[in-house]
Amino acid sequence: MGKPTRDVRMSFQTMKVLETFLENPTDLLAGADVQKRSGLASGTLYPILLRLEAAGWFVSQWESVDPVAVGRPRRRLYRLTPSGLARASEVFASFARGLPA
Amino acid sequence: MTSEDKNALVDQADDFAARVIRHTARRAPHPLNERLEEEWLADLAERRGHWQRMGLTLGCLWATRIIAAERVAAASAPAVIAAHGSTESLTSGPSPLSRRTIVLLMIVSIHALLLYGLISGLATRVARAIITPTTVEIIHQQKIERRAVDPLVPHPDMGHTRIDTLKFDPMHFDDVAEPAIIPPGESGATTIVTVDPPPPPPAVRRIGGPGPRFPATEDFYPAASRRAAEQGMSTVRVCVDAAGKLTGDPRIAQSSGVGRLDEGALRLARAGSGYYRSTLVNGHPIADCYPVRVHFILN
Repeated sequence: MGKPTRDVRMSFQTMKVLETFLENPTDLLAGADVQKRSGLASGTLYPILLRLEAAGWFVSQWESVDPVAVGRPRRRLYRLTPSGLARASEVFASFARGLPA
Repeated sequence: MTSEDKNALVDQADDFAARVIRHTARRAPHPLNERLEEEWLADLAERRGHWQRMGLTLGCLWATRIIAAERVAAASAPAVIAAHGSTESLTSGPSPLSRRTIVLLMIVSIHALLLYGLISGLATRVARAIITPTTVEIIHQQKIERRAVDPLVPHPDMGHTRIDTLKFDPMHFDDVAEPAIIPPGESGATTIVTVDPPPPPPAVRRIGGPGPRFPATEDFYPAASRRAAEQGMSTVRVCVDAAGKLTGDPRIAQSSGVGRLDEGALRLARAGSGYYRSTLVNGHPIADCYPVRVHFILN
């Protein structure tokens, strides 16, 4: 996705996704991994991932495997950007202080 | 349903879910459609279980609608911002389809899926997989031959008839006599019992006798017998009720050989009325008749 275009509305589901990534900020996670850890439905999760990526919080890349060799399509892996990590940390810190993000 | 049929059914369901996801992803805004198709198919490959795959399929349908709505809103955002000077409406942009249309489409889709399942035989296979077949086992009824038996006249084939009778004995009136075996034709009017009755529980019987306050024998020793130095033992049969009182006149069951001594024994037995120890059956006092031995011995 391109560079950040606009901010993201912070919902409970969005914070669940961010919390999942903040557990290990350097990890590359596929949508199925995030869903297992956050418990969100796929219909909710994927729009949030695309939204955060469009806002520059995440970057994504294809899994470096041969689909023929592994017998399945490649997974799309997401990772927090440095600015996304800083902003996500700021969001949770502000919530901890009781202030709006 | 065999394992091959189940595997074929699973493959058919997976193929159906992949087709729906592929079709749904292609309807997403360009250039996301190709990416989402591969991403979601990779996600589908990791799902285990039919319900998870079905959930992902429905989730992709929903996600496509949300993503398309957001793209439309983002495309029209500059115009909205120019018109209103705000980005407030970006998070809830207008949908290309009204809510009523979406619900209608979902209902039509569900009916189309059901119709597809009925036509392709998928519904029948699912029903066979879910419903356990009912097995019917035929149990042959055994014929029971019933023979008419006269309750009073023994059947000629019976040989010997077993008849239970009760012998009343005033001394042991609660004892049950052994069943008598009589030849056919001699049963008379007694009741024929063809089934052995359950044996009665053994009764603990304690025969009564003179109680602790029973009169002393010396007081009834005939004076003439003392002078004549007559000695002996008289056996007196007494009938006593549950309270230890005589219910009839005592009688000599076995004489001592001396009439005076027997008379003295009878007087002693009469004088002891009310001081007898009654017979106990299972701890309960009953009326009973029993012998009492009276010894007349000179000191």
